[in-house]
Amino acid sequence: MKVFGWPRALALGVVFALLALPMPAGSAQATPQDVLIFGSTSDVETMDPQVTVDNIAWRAIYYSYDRLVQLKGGTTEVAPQLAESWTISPDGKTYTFRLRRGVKFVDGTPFDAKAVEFSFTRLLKMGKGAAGLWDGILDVNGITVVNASTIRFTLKTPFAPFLGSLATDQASIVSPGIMKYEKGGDLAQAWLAGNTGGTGPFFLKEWRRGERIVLERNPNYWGRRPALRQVIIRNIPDPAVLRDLLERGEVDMGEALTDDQLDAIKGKPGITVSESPSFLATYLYLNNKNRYLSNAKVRQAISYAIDYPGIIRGVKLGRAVQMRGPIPQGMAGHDKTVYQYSRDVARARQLLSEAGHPQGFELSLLIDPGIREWADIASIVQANLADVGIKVKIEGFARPTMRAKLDKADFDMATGFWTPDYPDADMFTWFWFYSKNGGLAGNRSFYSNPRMDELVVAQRQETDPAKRLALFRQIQKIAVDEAVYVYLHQAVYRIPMRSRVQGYVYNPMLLFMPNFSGISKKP
Amino acid sequence: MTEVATQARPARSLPTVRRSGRLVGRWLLRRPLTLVGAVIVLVVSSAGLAAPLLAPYNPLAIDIVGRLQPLSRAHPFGTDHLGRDLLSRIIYGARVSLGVGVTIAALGALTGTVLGLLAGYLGGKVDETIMRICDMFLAFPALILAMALAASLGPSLGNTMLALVIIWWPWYARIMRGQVLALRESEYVMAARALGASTQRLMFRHLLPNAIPPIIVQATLDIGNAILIASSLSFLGFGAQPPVPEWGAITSEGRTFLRDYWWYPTFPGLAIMITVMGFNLMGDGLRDLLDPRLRRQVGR
Amino acid sequence: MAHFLARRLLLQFVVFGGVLVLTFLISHIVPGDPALLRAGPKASAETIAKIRHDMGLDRPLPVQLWVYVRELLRGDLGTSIRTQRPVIQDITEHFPATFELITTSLLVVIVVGIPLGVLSAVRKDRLPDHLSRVIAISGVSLPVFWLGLLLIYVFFVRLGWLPGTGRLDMAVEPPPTLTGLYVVDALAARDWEALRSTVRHLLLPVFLLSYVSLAPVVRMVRSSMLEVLGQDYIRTARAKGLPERLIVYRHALRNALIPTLTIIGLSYGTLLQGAVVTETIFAWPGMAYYAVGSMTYLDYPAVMGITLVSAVIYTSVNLIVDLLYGVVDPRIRYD
Repeated sequence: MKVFGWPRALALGVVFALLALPMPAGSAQATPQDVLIFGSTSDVETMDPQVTVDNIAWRAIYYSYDRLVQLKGGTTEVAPQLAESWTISPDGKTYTFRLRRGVKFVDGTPFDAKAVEFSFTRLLKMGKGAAGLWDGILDVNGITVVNASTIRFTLKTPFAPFLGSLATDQASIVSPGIMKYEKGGDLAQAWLAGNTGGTGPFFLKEWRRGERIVLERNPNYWGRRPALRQVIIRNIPDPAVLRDLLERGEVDMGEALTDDQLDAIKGKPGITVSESPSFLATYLYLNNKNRYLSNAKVRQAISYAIDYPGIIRGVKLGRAVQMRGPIPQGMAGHDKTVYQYSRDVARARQLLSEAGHPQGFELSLLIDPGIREWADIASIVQANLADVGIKVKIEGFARPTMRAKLDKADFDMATGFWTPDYPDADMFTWFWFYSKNGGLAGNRSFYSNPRMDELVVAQRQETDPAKRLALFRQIQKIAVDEAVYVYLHQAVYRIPMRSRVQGYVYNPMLLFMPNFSGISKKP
Repeated sequence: MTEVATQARPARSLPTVRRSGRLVGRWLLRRPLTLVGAVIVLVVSSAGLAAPLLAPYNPLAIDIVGRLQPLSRAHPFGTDHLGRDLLSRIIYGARVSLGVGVTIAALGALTGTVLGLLAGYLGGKVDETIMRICDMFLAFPALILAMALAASLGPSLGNTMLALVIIWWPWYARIMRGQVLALRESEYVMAARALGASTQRLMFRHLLPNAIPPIIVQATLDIGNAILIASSLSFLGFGAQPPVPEWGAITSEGRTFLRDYWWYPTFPGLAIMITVMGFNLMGDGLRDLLDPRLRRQVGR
Repeated sequence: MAHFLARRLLLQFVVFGGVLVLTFLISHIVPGDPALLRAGPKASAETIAKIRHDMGLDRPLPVQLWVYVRELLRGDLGTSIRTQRPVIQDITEHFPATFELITTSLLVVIVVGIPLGVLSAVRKDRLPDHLSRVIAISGVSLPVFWLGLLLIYVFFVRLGWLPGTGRLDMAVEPPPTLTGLYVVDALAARDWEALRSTVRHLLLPVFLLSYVSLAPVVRMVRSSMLEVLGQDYIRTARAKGLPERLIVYRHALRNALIPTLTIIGLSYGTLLQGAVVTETIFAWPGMAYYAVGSMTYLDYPAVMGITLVSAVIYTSVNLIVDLLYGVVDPRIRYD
């Protein structure tokens, strides 16, 4: 073994020190004008749009694919994309789409009705989580190629939000050309997990896992050419580091920073923080199968014990509004007049006495401690409920374990987030209250009420908007009276960017998915 | 693996040490670093034990309005992002961390000692089996195995301790076995056997007391180590859960606040460093005292 | 030698068998259900049941173990639940980053640790000795994660001298992949910008990792040096009037290196687990980073793959060290 003497070690040290010297004018380093560098604190797991149900993955792939319809600008209105027009049968069960012609996938395969059929058949056949939106509504027999540029969907039951559901990432149209990468009948899953095959403005050029994702402008794109040549999504797990890179201009845009960090950089020269109301609901599940929580009075008592403004202030630094019932403000169907709980310790105690528990009792609160906000909410809820005599034990579990417990009703209370996949109050009613959805599917309080069941199914099949609105009003009233969940708050969505980034449009349905195709950079 | 901790001669037994209490005092004065270590351990232990008396606030008491306050007379270490007093959390943290460290070292040592004693004394198949199981556990880098275990069992302080005990005992088993093998051939054990002493009597009256000093040294060094690994696990999210005031967990919570509120992650980290250093310094000295020839098992 | 090797290898396989069963048990005591993760937040019961079946999770445990071993013998570690890719592919892709980090750190440990140990022994109980002892003890007492945070804060956030995340600067194109070791790849491509960038990115994590792994080496070199320096032949050499430098490096160090070799072998294990935290802190996209992600996700095929691979690396390094003994010290024979 060769042993280094001191002089040599020293020389080596000097070399290292030289390399360590600050970059010349390191802070002024500007990113190229046609490349957007996006810093992300979360890593993408898999890119198959018909498998993944993760917003972070959607961010990387949403603009590599197109869908039959799209959301118009920053609204929840549905507009044509790959479909030029459509007709809906009077019974609300048959949808016929006329498709755009002359479009090609990035791999050169022409886009036509067959491709749409292929795409939806693959989605439904694989039956991964991504197909869950159309469970019991659409199956492979319901897809008919009428001619090369016409496709028809026949639903098993009327489904009012169907059109909106076609704008989701799960409904992306995938090239039939990917089948040449199929291995062992996997419908090219192994390949598509790390590649893209769509008609969108970008395509995945390179993915160094844990490091960066490079989206390149699609030369065959049929629509308006994006200003950006490349979008590079860099994996930067530490928000503190991301913040600094943003301030130095080495990163153009990024998320997720904490609210504290956003407050700190907001207003600094060269930085813009976009802030908009969102449909991201934060709430508590109250397991109705629990002997205490099965009593509506106990659930109401808990709803009265929570310090809502305290949570909004402490956890979100005021960047949220308290929910009013299950349907978020800003979504069609929201009832402004429904009752809103606020902290009233005396009332809560009285309700607990009426329920027969003046001495209080103990409940567990299930969280995934990896989500910082939940850990903080849990700490506050624990303190709040202690004031009315309920002792809370916080139980942290890794995501999969937490999900398993939620699904099996093996918990008392739990924290939760919910974002709608399609722009419809159905996402906050049928999913949340229908007794057959008990568990992960959406009814995480395991609430069961025949009257409620009737209402949530009826609104789904109702094609008359006015009648639907009336149904939603009844649903919200019961949901609040019965205190099925603790409706905490809906967050303000905040995303920081360099001020030279232009053309960002916030769409409440596309959280974490900035419109890369519309963004440009000033020199 | 080939290296088995075989000591050429049995280590000094405990009673000798006890009798020489005054000698220890003088010896300590000549070794300032060991003294420093002992003082640190003493201070941290008393802080942990007397936490309810010493801590100015309830470590879980939330005060949203007073979040992230800098150091002041009222909050010498400032407050965290939920307005909890950091000094109080760190004092209670001493209790948590010490509890974790001592429990792991004690349970690990106990399990390892018993199994090592059996292996060394009974020999043959029992020995072979126990040693192969040891090899199996030692084939992993400890932190990776602990992470896998803690993640599977569900992240909590209890499970972290369980995982670390499972990983730790083979080291003790090896030390113990080596001691027993060396002692078994020693004259006084032979003499006892010749006099017709039973296996049990031999094991517990003769072998065990003489083999124990190196275990104690190892355990002392391990308390520090266990605190370190347990806090790493908590930092990575596999250990203590909020709002438990565990030092690693507090550092992790404070991570994103370092830039604007330096005190938040700084103090809990400092607490870990000082405590672990105390145990290491003390263990080092203890090793020299009990058996200058005993080499530490490294590489965990 | 051959006999020893055969016995060692046989033993190794027995241990691996145990390791395999152990990792399998660890990853299957999970109260969680991996199928639920794949299914996503809004999946129906039928979807979940189908996924569970696809993943083979509805089969009895022994059958699952049998299937796993069968596939393993074919070189297949299963498919990751998180990334949906073969685990072996994920590990191969993440391995070079870890290898680069650990090997560089090991070099630093050797280059700094051995002279420090020698110095400490030669100047026993004097200032250099105390100093090196303090460095060593503080190294094993520091929480890696905390020191890492402070390093980033000081050198990246405050001073802006060194980068604090990843392997390359934001706007630098990675060199074309040849080995996956960016330093080597950049050299091969003569891409000086990437080389400079990647070396700068190595500095902080390597410093952190080698600092906390330094102590055992320093300690071991010191004590074996002390032992050797007290021996007759050194005294003879001194009496002959050989220069001290020559005595220390030629005569004493060579003999003191034997136990140090063990330590360096074991250091690889220390480094491997130090890498877990280091990679997490610096977003270094290596195996350990992948491991932490998989474990939080309870991605059990990945968890099993990682624990197995790390056990194989760890024990193999130890085996190599055992064999090297014979090379360095001819007195040792294997029987």
